[in-house]
Amino acid sequence: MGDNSRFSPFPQPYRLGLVMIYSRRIVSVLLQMPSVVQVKELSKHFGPIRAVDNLSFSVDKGEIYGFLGQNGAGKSTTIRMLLTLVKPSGGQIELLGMDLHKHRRKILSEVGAVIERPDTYNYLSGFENISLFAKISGMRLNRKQLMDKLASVGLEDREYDIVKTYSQGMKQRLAIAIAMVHDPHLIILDEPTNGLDPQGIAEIRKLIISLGREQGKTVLISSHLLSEIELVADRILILDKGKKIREGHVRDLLDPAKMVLNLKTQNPELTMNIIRESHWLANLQKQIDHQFIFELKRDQIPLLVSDLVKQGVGILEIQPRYSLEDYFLSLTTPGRDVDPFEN
Amino acid sequence: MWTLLKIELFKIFRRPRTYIGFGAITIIILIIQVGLKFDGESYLELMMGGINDTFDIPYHLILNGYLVAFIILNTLLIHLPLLVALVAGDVVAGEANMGTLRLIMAKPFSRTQWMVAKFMSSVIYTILLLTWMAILALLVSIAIFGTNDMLIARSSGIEQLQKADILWRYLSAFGFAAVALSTVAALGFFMSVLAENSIGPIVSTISIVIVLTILSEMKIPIYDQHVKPFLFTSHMLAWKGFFYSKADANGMVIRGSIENISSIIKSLLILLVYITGFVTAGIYIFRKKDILT
Amino acid sequence: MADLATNKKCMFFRRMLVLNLILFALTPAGRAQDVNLIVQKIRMKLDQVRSYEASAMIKTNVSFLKVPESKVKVYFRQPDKIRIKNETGISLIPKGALVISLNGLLHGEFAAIDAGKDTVRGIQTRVIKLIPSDDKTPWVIASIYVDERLMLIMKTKTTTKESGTYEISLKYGKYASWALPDQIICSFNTRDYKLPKGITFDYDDGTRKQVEKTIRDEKGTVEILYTSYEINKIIPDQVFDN
Repeated sequence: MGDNSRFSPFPQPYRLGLVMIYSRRIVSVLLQMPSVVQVKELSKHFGPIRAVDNLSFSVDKGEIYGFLGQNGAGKSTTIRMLLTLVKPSGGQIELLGMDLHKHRRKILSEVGAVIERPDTYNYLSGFENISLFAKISGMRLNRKQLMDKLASVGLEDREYDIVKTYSQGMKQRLAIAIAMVHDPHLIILDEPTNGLDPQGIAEIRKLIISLGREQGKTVLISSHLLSEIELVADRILILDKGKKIREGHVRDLLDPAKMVLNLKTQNPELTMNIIRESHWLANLQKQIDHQFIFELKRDQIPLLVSDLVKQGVGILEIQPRYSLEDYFLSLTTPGRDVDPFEN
Repeated sequence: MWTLLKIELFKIFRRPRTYIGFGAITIIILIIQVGLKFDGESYLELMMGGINDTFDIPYHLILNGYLVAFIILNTLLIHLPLLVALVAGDVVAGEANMGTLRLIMAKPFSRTQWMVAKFMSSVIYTILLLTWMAILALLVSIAIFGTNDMLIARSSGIEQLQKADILWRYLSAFGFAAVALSTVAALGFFMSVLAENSIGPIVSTISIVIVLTILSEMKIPIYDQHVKPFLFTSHMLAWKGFFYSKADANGMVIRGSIENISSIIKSLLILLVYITGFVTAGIYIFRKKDILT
Repeated sequence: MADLATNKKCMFFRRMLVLNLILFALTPAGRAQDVNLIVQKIRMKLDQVRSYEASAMIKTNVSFLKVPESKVKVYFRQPDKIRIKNETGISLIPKGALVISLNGLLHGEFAAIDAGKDTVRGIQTRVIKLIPSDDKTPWVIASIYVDERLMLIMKTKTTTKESGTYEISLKYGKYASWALPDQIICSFNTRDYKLPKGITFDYDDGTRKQVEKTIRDEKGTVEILYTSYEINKIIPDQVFDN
C-alpha cells in the first residue's frame, strides 16, 4: 500500500481523514474480490447521439486493461463516467466493489487519473501543482516526498519552473505524477503517451507495466494507438460508436485475427497462375512485382506456403504485417472487406 | 471545506491578474487624493451647489479625510464591481478552460463543496479588495487631509455629520459594501458556472451591472415604480444610507441616528436573497452538468 | 404801566420760544437731531466694549441644510472686527452676517433718518434708517429698531450689496448693560439649492421626496445663543486672520 502517511490535513476535515482510513480498510477487504471495475449496461446519450451504448465490461485486480477505439468511439466518455464527471443515462458502475453513486467519496480517494490532455495549473510550478493535488487527495507529504514523486517521472530538475514553460512530454509526466501522488489502487490513463517522444513513450510503458505487474495496481489505459495497448495491456476492449465490439485477452484477439501476409516469391508469374486457379485468390489483396499481399487467418499461412511450394514456387520472404492493427481497423472502419468477428 | 478554501485562495492569489484589482484601486485613489489636495476647493464649490452665495463656506475645513474618503467611495461605485467580476467570473470557467476542472472534480470532494469553496474564495478576495480600498481611502486620506466634520451633498441638500459621529458609519458602510460586492461576486460565480471560458462570464457580469446601474439611476417613472425596486444595483447604494441622519423638528441633525435604517435593512436582505439565489442556482446547475472540458 | 407791558412782552417771547422749540422738535430737522442723538448714545454704549470673546451655540434652520448644533467662539475687537470660529468642527455662517454686526453698522459714515415707531416683541421701538455715505460700505441701507428706554437695538434689517437682506433679532439678558445680546436670530432669504448632476448617485430609500426642490424666496434662520462673554479681553491679531 505504500509508506505515505495518509491523514486529514486540517482540523475540520478529520472526517475526510477518517473516511480515508476507513476506506482503506474497506478497500483492502474488497480488493480481495476479483473485480476492481464492474460496468453493466452503461449508456450515455447527448440528445439523439448515443456516445456510449449499453456497454458492459469488468477489470480484474492487478490487470492492465486497454480501451481501444478511434476518436469519438466513447472511450473518454466512459472514463468520465467512471470518474463521475459525466452522469450516465443508464447502467451501473461499481469500482473497488462499491457502487460509484453511493460511495463516490471513498472510491475516488483510491482512484488516480489522467484524462485526455495533461492539463495542470500552468501558472504554478510543477512542485506547487503536485503539492496542491496531494492536499486535495488528502495526502500530507513533506517536501522530500513530493520531490521524490516528481523525480519518479523525471522532473527533478524542473520542479520550480512554471508549468507553462514545460514541454508537452513534461506536462504529461507531471500529470501522471499527480495521478499517482496519493498511491491509488486504480489508475485511469487516457491517452498517456500523447505528445511524448519515443524515449518518453518507452518510459511510460515501463511505468505502466511496473504499476500493474510489480505494484499490483489496476490500470485502465485508453488509446487509439494499438501498438501501445498491445504492448502493455492484458485485456483489451474495442469500442466503436459507443458499443463494445470485442473484449478479450490480447493473445486471444491475435489468434483468431486475420493477418496480412507479405510474401515474396522467385517466380511471380507462376505464383500468380497458381493463385488464380485456387481458392487463395479470395485472400489476395495486392501484387507488386515479386510481392504478394494476402489477408488470411494465422493458421492458414502454412497451408498457403505449402500449396505454393508443392507447385514449384520459390519462397524468398514471408513477412506478416501488424495484424491486430488491421483487425482493429477492420472492425471499426466501415466498408472494409473483412467481416468483423462475432463474439 | 477549509482545505478547499485554502487551495482556492492559493490559486486566486497566485494569479497575476488578481493583483490588477489592487493596483487599479491604488492608482485611482492616489489620483483622487492628489487632485483634491491640489484643487479640492473647486470640487467643493461645485458640490456646494450655489449655497456658497448664502453662506461662508470654510473649504479648508470641509476638505478633510472623511469627505475625501466619501468622494473616493462614490467614485469607485462602478470600478469595484468590475474588479470583483474579473475574479469571480473566472473561478469555474477559468478552470474549465484550463482543463483543470475535470481533475479536481474527479477528487473525493463533492461538487457542492467545491462550488461553495470557490464562491467563498471569491467573497474573501472581494473583502480583501474592499479592505485595501478602505485603508487607502480612509486611513491614508485622514493622514493627508486630517479629520473634521463631514458635509455630504445630496440632491435634497447638504448634511453635516460631526467628527465623532462618522467612523462607525464608515465601518457600517464598508460592511454593507462587502455584502453589495458579494452580490456581484455571486453573479459572476453563477455566470462562470454556465461557461467554459472566463471572458464570457466576466464581460456578461460587468455588462449586467452597468446596464442595471443605468436603469437604477434613470428617472423614468415606469422604471422607478416597476423595475428599480427589484434590481440589486438599486440596493447596492444603500451603504450611503449610513451617512444620512435624522433631523429634529428644527432641522437639527440628531447625532448617532440613521435616517432610514429599515430601508437599509431591507436592501441588505434583498442583496442576501440575490446572493443566495445566484449561488444556489449556480450550484444546482453545476451538480447536474456533465464536465466535458 | 411800563412794567406790565414789559412783563407781557416777556411772557409772549417765552411762549413763542417754547412754541418754536416744540415746533422745531416736531420738524424733520429736529427729529434728525433726535435720531442722531439716539445713535450717538447707542454708539457710546457699544464703545464700552473694546473687545470680547464669547462662547455660543449656533443652531441653523434652513430647509436644505441638515446640520447639528455647534459650539462656537465669537471674537470681537473694535471697531468692527468679528470672527466666529468652531474649534471642534464646521459651522456654516450666513455670508454678510458678520459684516453687518452692530459695530459694523454704527461705526461708518451714514445719514440717520427717523422712520417712525414699531413694536418688536411687544416693545415699542424707534425705527431709524441708516444710509451710508461711503460707496465702499458693504451694505446699502439698514434699519435699526431701538428701545429708547434701555438704549438697546432690538432688531436690524440690513440690505447688503452682495448677499441679500438680513434681519437680525436681538434679545438681551445679563449683559444688557454692555449692549451685548444673549441671543441673535438671523433671518435671510435662501437661494436655489441644486446639486449639480454627476456629482453623486443618491441612495433612493423609496420614500417620496421632492428630490430637486427649488427653494425660492424661502427664509432660513441661524440662531446664536451666547452663553458667556469675556469682555475687553485681549484678542490676538491672528484670530481675525483668514
